[in-house]
Amino acid sequence: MKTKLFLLCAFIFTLISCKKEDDPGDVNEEELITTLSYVLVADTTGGKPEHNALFVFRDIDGDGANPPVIIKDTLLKNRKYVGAVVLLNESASPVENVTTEILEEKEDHQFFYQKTGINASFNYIPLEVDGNGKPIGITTDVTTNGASSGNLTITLRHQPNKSGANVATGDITNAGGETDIEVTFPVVIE
Amino acid sequence: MGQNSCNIEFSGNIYDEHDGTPLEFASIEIMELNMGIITDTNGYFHFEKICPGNYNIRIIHIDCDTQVTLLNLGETKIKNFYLEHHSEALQEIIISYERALENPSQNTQLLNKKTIEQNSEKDLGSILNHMDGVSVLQTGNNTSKPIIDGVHSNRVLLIQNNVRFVGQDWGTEHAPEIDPSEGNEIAVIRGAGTVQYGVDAIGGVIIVSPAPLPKEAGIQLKTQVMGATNGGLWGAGLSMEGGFKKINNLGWSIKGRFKKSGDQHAPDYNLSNTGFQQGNASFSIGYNKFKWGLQGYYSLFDKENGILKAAHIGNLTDLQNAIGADTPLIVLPFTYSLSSPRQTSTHHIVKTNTYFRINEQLKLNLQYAAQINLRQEYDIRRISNDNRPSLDLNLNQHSIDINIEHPLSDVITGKAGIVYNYTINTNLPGTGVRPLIPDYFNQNSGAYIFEKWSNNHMEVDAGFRYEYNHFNAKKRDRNNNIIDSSFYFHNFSGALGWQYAKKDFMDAKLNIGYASRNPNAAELFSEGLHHGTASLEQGNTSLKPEKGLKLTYSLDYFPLSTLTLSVGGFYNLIRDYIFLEPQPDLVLTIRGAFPQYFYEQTNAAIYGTNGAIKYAPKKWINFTAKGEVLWGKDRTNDDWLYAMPQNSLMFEVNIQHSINKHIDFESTTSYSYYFRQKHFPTGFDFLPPPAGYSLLQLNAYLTQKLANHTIQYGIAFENMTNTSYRSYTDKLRYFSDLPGFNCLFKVSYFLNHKS
Repeated sequence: MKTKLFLLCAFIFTLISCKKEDDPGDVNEEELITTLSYVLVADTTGGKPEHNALFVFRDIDGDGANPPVIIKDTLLKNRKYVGAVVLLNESASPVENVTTEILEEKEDHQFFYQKTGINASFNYIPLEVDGNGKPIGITTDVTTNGASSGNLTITLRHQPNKSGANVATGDITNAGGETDIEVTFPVVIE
Repeated sequence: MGQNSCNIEFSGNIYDEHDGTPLEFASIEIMELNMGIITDTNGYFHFEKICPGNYNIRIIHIDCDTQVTLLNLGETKIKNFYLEHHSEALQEIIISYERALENPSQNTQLLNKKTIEQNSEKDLGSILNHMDGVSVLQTGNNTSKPIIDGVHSNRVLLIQNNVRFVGQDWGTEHAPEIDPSEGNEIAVIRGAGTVQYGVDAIGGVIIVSPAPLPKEAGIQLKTQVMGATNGGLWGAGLSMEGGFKKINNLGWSIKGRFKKSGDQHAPDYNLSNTGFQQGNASFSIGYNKFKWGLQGYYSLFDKENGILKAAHIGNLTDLQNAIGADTPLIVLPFTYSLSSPRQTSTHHIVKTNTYFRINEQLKLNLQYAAQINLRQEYDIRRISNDNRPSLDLNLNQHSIDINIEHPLSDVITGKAGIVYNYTINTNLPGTGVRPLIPDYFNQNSGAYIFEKWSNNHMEVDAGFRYEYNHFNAKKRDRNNNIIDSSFYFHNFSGALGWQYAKKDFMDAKLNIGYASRNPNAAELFSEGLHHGTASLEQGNTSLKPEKGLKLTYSLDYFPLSTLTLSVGGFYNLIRDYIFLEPQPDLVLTIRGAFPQYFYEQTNAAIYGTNGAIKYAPKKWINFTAKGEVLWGKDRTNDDWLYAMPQNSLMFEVNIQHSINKHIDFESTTSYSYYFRQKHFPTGFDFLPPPAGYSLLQLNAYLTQKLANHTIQYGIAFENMTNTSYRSYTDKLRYFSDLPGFNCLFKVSYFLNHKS
């Protein structure tokens, strides 16, 4: 009996001593998008002055924890701009350009631009389409009108219904899918 | 499903075949029901509350050959048995005493073999649903876990073949990897007996126990095939057990089952990606002599299930769109194939146990068990052909239990033991996603004692358990630095129970128990976005153990032989109840603003009551009406608790009829009504609780008995009125209705071959 108990104790001890846990490995959070920047460059044809605008939403530590940093900007009235969205994972090293991943899966993604209170129009650039001839929405033609202020919400939908009514013209109502990004910038036109 | 018209009494005397003297201390068992008693000085025995049917009656006496007789109880009510004298040991009596100890009668509810077999399409959560005080927490139609008296997950212990099951139990959408078919019976206990299994049974303990291994030569075989219209479910199962001619006391058992379902459908639409496939198998072998015994057991469970496609949402806007839609936003044609989001889980249990009788009073039990739980969860990823899991967990546990069973005297029996568990949980690398819970190991040592005193009418039992826990978690913070945290917990549980039973008059039970539960890894460490509920959950490392003081009572009263009135209830006062508390401010992320929840503690009270009337006017028909009411209060904040089960009413008619000597018919029709949950916390939920609903169900069985084999044909109709409904305790209630009409067919074949 005593030998049995001894063996048992020895066995338990071996279990404990040999099963020491390794440290958890580095977490390389690949799905994370930390940064969305929306760059607008004004059309200077006809000798109009140069103007750029930059909107950035950056949340380096991901969801929760420290709040995101939002950089807002101003657009000039009665001008034409070309806009482009860039997505980054700045927590990865080197910094990962997520926009290229979106382009690899362009049939499954679409950006939407919704404005409230701003006197301007945001339209997809017709040349930028996926394999089915549907828009992706990384680039936009922007036309501003009179001075105004409001908000612009940029949404990225994963697996949207690109054939839904008015989805191809940028109306999110019937897009469905799952939201990967939804950021809102205050915009002033002056 | 219930045990109906079960008011048959069965009595008789056991005599010595040679000289006709009454045999005292013979043990007589109804094998199918696992009921056993000991004859008195006149060789007299008496059973009551037996359902009519055919049973194997086993009689064991010290000095006689064991005798097994097949009887139809209902037709036969009084029977005398004559045993042939022999000189075997005094063993079997002691064994049946020990059986009684293993099934503490205090606040125990049982599902018998018949009910388990008749519900073979159900998982553990839903098969227990009809027991008093048990409801079900669902994630759609294919994932469920039991709620006992308003609590679930880590507050309910699960025991499979005397091994405490460990898995990723913290997740409300993680169903326990146990198949009900592993059990010959399933018991829910809330009393002192819980101390044998853990300190943390705030709700109770669910025990899935297989039948004892055969000791005699022969083979028993059971096989079943089934199919269902909703989801195109099909399944097949086989179980065999037997013993050997040449080696007495050596028995074996082997079981296996597979089932597969495609998308189920609600009355108005297909529930896309809600199929599953599940396989489970077990093997056990044991050599069980009186003096000593040795057993080995292995069980495997494997399941893959889809999660409703429309329930995968990215942010609050998506959730609001889903809530606002009449039909789920993604409805695809029916398919058996599963796609993301989906889960796979695999569970292995290896167990070996041995016993040794030190003397006639003391029996030493040793048990070692190892468990491996693997869980992978596949989310929809940005790159759609990325087939890596987003969550990939491997949990291992080794556990040792050493105990001594002892009768102190004729009226006191008990058990005392020590346990040691070592659990290690690892996030397997390569998911590319920050783990939801950290890597951890948990060492836990404990000791328990459980004693029971009984006389003719009364029984008192008491139990106590202490556990010491060392919990160490390691994770990477957002800057990839290692955070290493250790926690030390001292916990105890104790219970005191009383039972008074008088034949044909009443049966009263009262129990008071204390249990304490450590915060789990998710409650301590979770951090981040919870898809599906569109919320951010934040763990809290300063949580203290949760302590529950629970009073349970039940009273069965038999004013007439045809009538049973039952009332029962509980009051559970939980200090430092851990819950998710909504925070006033939304948190802004790149996916938009999310509501945020912190794990906090409060003082809670969960209480409820249930009542039943059973009336059996004739042998062939009986009626049951029962109701359950439950309240959950946050006493500190003077508010209601979240996700408490709905109140319900049920009416049932059961008919049993023997068409002839060989063919029995049985049918049960039940109508259940679930009330809308009117008590819910303010500012907590995106949607008020769903409306009340009623469900109508019918099942019928035709059993054909031949010499040593039996064939049973079963048909069941579920949700007969094809009602569209949503359950408050279904996590997918924001997104879709539960399944509509379903018709199930089953054919079972039993063979009992004696050699």
